[in-house]
Amino acid sequence: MERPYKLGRTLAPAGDAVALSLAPAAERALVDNDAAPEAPFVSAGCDLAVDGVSKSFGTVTALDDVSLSVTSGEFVTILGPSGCGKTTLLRIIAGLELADRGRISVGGLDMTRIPANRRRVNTVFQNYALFPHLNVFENIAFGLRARKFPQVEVDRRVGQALEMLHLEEMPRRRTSQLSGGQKQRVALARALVNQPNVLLLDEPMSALDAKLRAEVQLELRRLQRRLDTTFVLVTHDQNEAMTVSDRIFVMRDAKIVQSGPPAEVYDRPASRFVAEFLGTTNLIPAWRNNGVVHTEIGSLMPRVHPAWEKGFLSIRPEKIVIRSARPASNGIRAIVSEVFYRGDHLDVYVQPGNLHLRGLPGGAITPGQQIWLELPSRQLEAIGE
Amino acid sequence: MIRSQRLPPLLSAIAIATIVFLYLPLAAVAAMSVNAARFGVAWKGLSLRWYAQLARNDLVVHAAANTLILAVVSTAVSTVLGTLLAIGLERFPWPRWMRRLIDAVVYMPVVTPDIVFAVGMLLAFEAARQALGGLRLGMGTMIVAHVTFQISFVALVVGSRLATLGRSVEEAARDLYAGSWHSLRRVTLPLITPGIVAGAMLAFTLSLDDFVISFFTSGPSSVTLPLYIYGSLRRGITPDIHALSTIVFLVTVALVLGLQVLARSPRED
Repeated sequence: MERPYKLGRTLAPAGDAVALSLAPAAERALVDNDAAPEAPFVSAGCDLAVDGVSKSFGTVTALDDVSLSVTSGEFVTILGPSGCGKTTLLRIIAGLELADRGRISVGGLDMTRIPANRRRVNTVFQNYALFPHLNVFENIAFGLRARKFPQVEVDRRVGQALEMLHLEEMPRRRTSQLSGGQKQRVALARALVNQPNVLLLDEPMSALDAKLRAEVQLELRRLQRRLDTTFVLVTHDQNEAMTVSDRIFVMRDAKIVQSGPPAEVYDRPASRFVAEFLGTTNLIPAWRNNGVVHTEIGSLMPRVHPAWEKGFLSIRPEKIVIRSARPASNGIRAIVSEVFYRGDHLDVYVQPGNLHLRGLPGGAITPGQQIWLELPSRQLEAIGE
Repeated sequence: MIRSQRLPPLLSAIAIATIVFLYLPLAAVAAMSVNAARFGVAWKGLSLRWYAQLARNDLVVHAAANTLILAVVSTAVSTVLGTLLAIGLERFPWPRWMRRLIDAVVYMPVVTPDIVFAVGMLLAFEAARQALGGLRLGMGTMIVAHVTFQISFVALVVGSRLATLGRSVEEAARDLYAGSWHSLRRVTLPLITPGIVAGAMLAFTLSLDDFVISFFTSGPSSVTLPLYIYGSLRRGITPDIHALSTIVFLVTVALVLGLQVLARSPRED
């Protein structure tokens, strides 16, 4: 009873020991529940490390030497276009796919060769993959029953999960009678009820409409904070990635090309791909001559002086500032060519360079107007091709 | 409801003619089976005497029992084996060329002409007899022969069900701590049960109706209804054969209808 639940200790002897380790976990859950009724789910969040993982399907390389590490209780997103290998990475972490090379460890324990059913990692699948022959209660109870939890414990935990995800009304409903949002909550409950070390979410919101998606993103973030579990979300939606995550790993062509907190990845894209994939940006072709960066619209000073001879300067539309007089540095004289009213902001296009500005300028802006622009040096990123 | 468009008259006529052509002989047999006349086709009034006479005919009763034993046992065995085969085929990560090879092997009994298959079975039994000795044609060999072709049909029906089901729910089960056995019993089998039952009913119907393969692999004591009917035809067609044929036909129709109902009600959303 006193024993703190620790995967490392209980799993070490053999893979089979996972089943043995669950009893203390259940006991602890009971105890903790009395102590903290606000948080019925004990955090079992663990560090996750992916180390040099590669995977090919035939001649197609899905993952090429991918490494990442996630600390316990962190919410990370793997962001990338379809076909970049992000789902394969998730499946390898879940144990549904085996890596050709490399290592997966959860809570410091090597999981590379441990089958999916012996990993305390649960997944919310893209299509939810609910069991159509079971009702909501039995769907959620599945993992507990597979580990032979006593009925009392199953009832208690499933009850908590139903409550946590606002499904109290529908334990006996068939999955075919649920809406998309409800199915998704059942899928979440079914995974979270097991108190996984790591929760994996494979494009969990792709089937929801835009409004519901925004709600679910907030809900998911709150849930993750409350449970303090490690979440790994896979998505191709950059807004989703920015909204929910502590850190983003951007993937492209089987590789992770950049990682960091959302603001860092957004503000300091390391490549043209990242700059364009996350939000919109102004890409200004540039070249270096005698230590000065030149562009078609004049010489500019980026945040960090580039190492390349030829590349791009990138600046987000909302980072360009309109000035009443010539700015001290990185100033450009421009003519407004188009103005689009967007309700909460304006999208302004200017010449030369067809720069895109976004924001709410103090005064009126009309096409044909001559303005001074400042491309602040600390917002101006020099990036290679 | 999907409202079908009105069919052009010619098409309707052809459809009706086809149905008449298909079912008139069967209807005629059914009509003759309740005709009181002993000889000829003249209508002499409604009577169930031929059915009663069947029940008193020991040979017929014995043949009916044989037919049922053969169908039940062979269906039971082939359903289990065919289901296992289908699961193994659909779920094991076969290399593509091997999968194609095995598929071809499984399809073979379905497309092979019965007579060829029957002769093949007979040769196999003969070889087994010479090698092992003591093997006699009879119920045992018939069951083996029936199971051999039924397996393919069961595997095809169950396999298509498995393919439609996809792997995602089984992966979800694995992700939720279910070992292979737990996943098979709690997820895969419940979800493919309609397919298994449909496969079993198909196998049962095929066994019940089979003449050619039974003819080649039966022994003197293992006469089934189709074989009995064939045998009595040589002595001329009697009304009780009409009655017997009608019964066999009705049982088959009932099974096929049941099969369609099952195939139509998958338990998923």
